[in-house]
Amino acid sequence: MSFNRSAQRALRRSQASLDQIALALMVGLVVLAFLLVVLGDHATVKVRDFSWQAHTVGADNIAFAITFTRPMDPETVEANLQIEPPLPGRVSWAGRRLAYTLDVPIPYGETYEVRLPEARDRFSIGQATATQFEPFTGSFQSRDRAIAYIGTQADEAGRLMLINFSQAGETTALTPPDLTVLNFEPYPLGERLLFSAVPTAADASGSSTASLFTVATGLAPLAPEQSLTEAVNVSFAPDAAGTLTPILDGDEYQNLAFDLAPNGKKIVVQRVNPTSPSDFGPWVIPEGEAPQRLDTEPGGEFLIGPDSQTLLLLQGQGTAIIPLDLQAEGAIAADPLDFLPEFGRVFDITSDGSAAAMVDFNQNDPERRFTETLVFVTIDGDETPLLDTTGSILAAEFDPTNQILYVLASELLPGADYQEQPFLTAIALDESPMLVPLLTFPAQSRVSMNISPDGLAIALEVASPTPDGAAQNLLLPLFQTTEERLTGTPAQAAPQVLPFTGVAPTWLP
Amino acid sequence: MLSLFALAGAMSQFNQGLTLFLSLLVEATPFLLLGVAFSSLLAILVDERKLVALTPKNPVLAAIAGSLFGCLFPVCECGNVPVARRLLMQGAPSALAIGFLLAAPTVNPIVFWATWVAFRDQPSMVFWRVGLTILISVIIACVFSVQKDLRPFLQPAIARQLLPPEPEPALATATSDSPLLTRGTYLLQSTGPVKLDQPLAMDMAVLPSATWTVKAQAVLEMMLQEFRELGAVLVMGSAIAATVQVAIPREWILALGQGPITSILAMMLLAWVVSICSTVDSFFALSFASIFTSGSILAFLVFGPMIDLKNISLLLTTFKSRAVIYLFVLAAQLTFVFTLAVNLYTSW
Repeated sequence: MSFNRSAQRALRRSQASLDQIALALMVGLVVLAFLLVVLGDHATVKVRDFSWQAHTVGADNIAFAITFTRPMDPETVEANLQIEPPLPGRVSWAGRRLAYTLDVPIPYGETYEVRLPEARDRFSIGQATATQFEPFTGSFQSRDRAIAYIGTQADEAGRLMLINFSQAGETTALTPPDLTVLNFEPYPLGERLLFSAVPTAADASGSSTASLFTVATGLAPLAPEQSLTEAVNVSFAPDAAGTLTPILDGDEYQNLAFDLAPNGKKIVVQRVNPTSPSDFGPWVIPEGEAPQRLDTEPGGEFLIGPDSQTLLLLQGQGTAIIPLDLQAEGAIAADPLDFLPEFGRVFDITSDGSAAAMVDFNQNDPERRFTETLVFVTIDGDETPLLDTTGSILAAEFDPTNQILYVLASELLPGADYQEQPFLTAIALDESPMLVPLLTFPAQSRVSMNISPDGLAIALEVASPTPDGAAQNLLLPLFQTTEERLTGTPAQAAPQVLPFTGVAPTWLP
Repeated sequence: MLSLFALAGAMSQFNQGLTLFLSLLVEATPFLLLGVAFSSLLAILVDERKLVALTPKNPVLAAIAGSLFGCLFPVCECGNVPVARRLLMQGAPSALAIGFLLAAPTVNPIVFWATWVAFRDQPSMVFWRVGLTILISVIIACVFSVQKDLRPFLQPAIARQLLPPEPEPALATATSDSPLLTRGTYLLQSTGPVKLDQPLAMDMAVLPSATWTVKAQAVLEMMLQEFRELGAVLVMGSAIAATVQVAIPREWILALGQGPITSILAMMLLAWVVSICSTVDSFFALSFASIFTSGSILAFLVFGPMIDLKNISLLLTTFKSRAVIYLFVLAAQLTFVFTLAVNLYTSW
């Protein structure tokens, strides 16, 4: 080897130094580790994250999470967790994270406080002294209780109005007087409304066609991230109340009807070319993009499915289910995914997309030809008839828990005159669907309904049959007790008169 | 009947071991290749005299520089050994090489990003992980820098390439020891002792006529040679790690406990045994994050990339066993002490 003797000596000297310092450090670290263990636990256990802290939650937020710095003793946490006002729910654990899933959608217009004054970590189970716990207090609120409607009285006429019950019933005119609103639908977080309108001046002549706009409501709920459930990415663009944004003009095509996807990212519009009436059919407007023709057979009524990806379109004698996915070439080629030949109308789909309320006009059954049947159709193809009526099924809407279906229908009154009497009923959707009659309206009156997002009340518009009879807006509370709410059994109650008069009262989500 | 069951059990264990072995190998090989590529490029294209001139003389600064080197060479714990070995042979300070060896698998952009993605709802984990890794690497690197001449702690093949601390006549022999002929025989795939550790750049430097094609060929040849050598070692290491994992099921390790102290020991042992690559270990650790203390997850993320069962065999190609023991014990003790302090004194 090339090392000489002196180099080897030097080497031995230097060799000693690494060995010495390494061994000394090792011993020192053993002592330090021992000291740390002996001195004990000085950490404070606390809540690291509360997923709803300072957020505004809605009916679509069904669970919050509390994450601790350490694995906890579940019993001490569950026994001490307080929510004020109470929100019934159930606790589940995933390691250091507690998930609290609400039994029913959160009542709107409230501020809630979550407190955990004391709890123990899992390591101190069975030990006399527990690790210190930092008491936790968190708060969140539910969205405002608010109704939008099209005004009919005086200077409200034709304008989109907003009444916010959580702000002492403050009423705001959202659209300017020079637009007459025909129809509207709220965006998923209630910060905007999509509406169709014609210029007020031209309304009488009927020459002008409807354009689509959005208008901001001025509400801007800070929605929590839905990390617990599927990440729902919804459209959200808050602005000052009354800010108008044009969406689609009526210059080339007439816009007949529209529907907004549940996530607010697509609009489907039924359009017709006035110069060529065969140029008729649904168009899709993806958010922020130009309208595109949906390449399918023309149809009648339509509804976007809860997944925001499919369209249910009445075609011929049945209902076609059409995909709304964009194709590469720009046009949307849509072969129906499915066709349900016997159902002439779809009223509502459960929020999880597992079932729908459809109407069978009984055209294939000569004996029942003049009756209509409301059918509950599940994704597995099970069909349960819920209600037969000699009049017509006017509306059907699922409760947010999907356990109750509210139906507005009419019965043919006996006698020579053809007279229909509308009624409202609730159907509990369990093993044997049970009808709970809620209200009966005067014969021949025109009724529309809208269920509040928390499922606690229905807003009704009842127009009396006489030509001069004004419409009346009613609020029908559905549950009297928490028990009734939890079991999903609505009870009859006296309706209250709402402090406004307008068309199509619709709750903001 | 009983023996049939025993045979079936042994077969399933063998299959499980084989799966573990192959997955370790498949996961590590690309990074080893990357490390070998960096090492060869470093050897051929970087003049070590310039490199040494650029590195800080102060051991602490050199250690910090070494720990941050991983940002330039994103290698995991399989790829860092060839690069660290090359740095040592190129005459870089030992603090720099050790700092790089311990920190590079963690302190690099890929691992940064992977940890960030995995611990999205606990983003401070990224900073704890990187910070603690640098701290521990710098401490151990400083300990090693006390040794002026690292040769007694290196394998003879490496030590021979290393220059003694003071310029001695050995320098002349070392350089004149590597004539072109030797490299030529190496290029001809000589079956003799592996000459891949020759300071080739020195030869290239004295050969201004060496064209890019010659250099590229040399890089490629060196990569192949080094990969063949370390690849074989990696196969051995993976086989050992797979065997141990089959012999000691994960459940046993996890059953060690979830308390503030025992959880750290359990997760460190788990990190050592599973030998998972640092680029993906955060996703593996995430599955334990809800059950174990934050400190123990941190211990897993810091200790695993530094030393594990699989890369001990790679370390032994460079260091003598005593040095590997020092690296291993010091890294383990420092991780334990720091993460224990995290568990017992912070509410993180």
